[in-house]
Amino acid sequence: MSQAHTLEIESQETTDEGQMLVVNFGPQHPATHGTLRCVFYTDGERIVRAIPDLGYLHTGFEKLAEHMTYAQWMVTTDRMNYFSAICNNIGWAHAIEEFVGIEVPERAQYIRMILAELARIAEHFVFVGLLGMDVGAFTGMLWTFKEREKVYDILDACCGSRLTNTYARIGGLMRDVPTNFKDMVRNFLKTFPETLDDVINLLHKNRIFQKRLQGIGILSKEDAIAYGACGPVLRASGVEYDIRKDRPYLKYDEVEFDVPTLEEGDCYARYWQRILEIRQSLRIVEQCLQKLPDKGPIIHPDYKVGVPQKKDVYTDMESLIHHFKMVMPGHQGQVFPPKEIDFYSATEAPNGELGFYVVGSGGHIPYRVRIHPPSLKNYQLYPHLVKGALIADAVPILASLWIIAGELDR
Amino acid sequence: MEIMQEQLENKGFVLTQLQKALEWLVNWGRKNSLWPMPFGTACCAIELMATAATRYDISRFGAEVMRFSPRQADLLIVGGRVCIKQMPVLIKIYKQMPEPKWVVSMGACASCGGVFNTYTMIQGVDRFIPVDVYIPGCPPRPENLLDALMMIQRKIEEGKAPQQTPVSLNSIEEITRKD
Repeated sequence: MSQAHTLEIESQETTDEGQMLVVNFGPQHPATHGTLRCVFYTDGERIVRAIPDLGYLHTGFEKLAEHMTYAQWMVTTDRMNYFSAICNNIGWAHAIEEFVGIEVPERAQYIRMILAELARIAEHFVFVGLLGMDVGAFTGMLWTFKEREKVYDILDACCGSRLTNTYARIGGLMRDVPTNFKDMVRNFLKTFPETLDDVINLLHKNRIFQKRLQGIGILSKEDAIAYGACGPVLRASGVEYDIRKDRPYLKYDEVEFDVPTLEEGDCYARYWQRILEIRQSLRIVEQCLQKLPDKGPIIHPDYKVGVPQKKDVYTDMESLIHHFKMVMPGHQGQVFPPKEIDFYSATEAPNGELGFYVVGSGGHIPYRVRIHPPSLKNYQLYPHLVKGALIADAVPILASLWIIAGELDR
Repeated sequence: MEIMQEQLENKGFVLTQLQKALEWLVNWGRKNSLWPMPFGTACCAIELMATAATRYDISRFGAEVMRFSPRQADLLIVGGRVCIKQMPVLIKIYKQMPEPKWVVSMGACASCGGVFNTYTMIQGVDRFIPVDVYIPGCPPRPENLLDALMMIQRKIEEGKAPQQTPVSLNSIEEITRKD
């Protein structure tokens, strides 16, 4: 849709609404964290109506899936929620594994869990920093990024990429973690709580921070369920729903953790919910480190399922052949879902339920992939929450919902 | 600056040593106080934020004053993928920036479309706006961004004019007309 077309809608709406002032928010605005756009109709300082305009980052992920093999599409999942790319990788790999019935080696499962939880910690922590920045506390953002860099270092050592990892593979992981992996994670666990406390001390009882967030954008329990909210937004409104607990995947049923919930449902609750979840994630990582086996395969040993390891490809004939058949187009080397069967699988990404609905074509390329992005579900709430709020409150409400544009528009 | 010098020389003016010294001073000031306008749309924006944050600290190069208003900025950093719907916004922002202005195309998507050769994506912003420095990578590391910044600084120091024209002079209507 061209810009001229959207402007046409705007002018039409203005005449309907009479004397209301139209405020355009985005698509290039520091508080939109990317490319969101919303048109507010305001009466004085109050927002009467908000119309979100999607599609400023529409990339065509789902169409790309129809041209790529199941393994190839792993690369594009990184670019959906770029704050925690590894969770998307795991979500997609898990969807295929769950349906085809691939048993992932235990070591790979624990490594996946550790990295997913580290990414969750990093994302929630940056959320706190950026929420602070949006309401005027810039220092928090610098402190949170300091810790995020440490998580980047761990991911960088594992797979050679900071942000877009593409570390998971169908049936396991790309390669083994470095030998000092456990030390690196332990070191992070040792230093992180200190910074966490610092940031809480900085923000939690700050009067400006409280006044900008408390009682703003209240989401009731009924509305949260009715709108299909998910993730921390849902739990901050008092609904105890977490896929890690309710429909466990990987080894989440073997570790102890709680699902924290809050009753208030305002922006401040959504901020505090993240802090509570960070603490649970730290617990999970600690337990996973204890349970992580020192040795073992990190990808399914059957070459019909898992991609052969690169070091084997260079030395072993059998691995080379299988690798060739998997990687070269038209050979259909890897296992794929049978014909005309559709399936849905969901994992708990940091900002909610990340689901993949896949229709198999019988070949190595899916017929259709539909992504269930948590950001889209939560963005539906936005017009509802800003109704009646002040213009200044639109920014913290948006920040507290944590909308990732790449995932929203796909 | 170079263009101006040429024009002056054509008209018979001879630049004195003082003028040259003043020019050097202006360029020195410009290069050490670039004000970036972060046009971050996707993944690259996070690395842009990481560059501005504690560890990489872009303020060592004098470019920490991120201006979200294009009228106050002289360096446009296009970080992330740009789709057809977003491109008119980017062109508008570029036109709003005062001269002289430099453009960094950060990452594979902004430079050439990257892995997203789809029906919505602009295959390189340089088809519409002039680009001075391209950064490869998906996303580039903060070091790459700092390197690009230093390239811009070198360009200013040498008194070279910013890139004036896009690679191909497409207009956004050409793409949208099909619909």
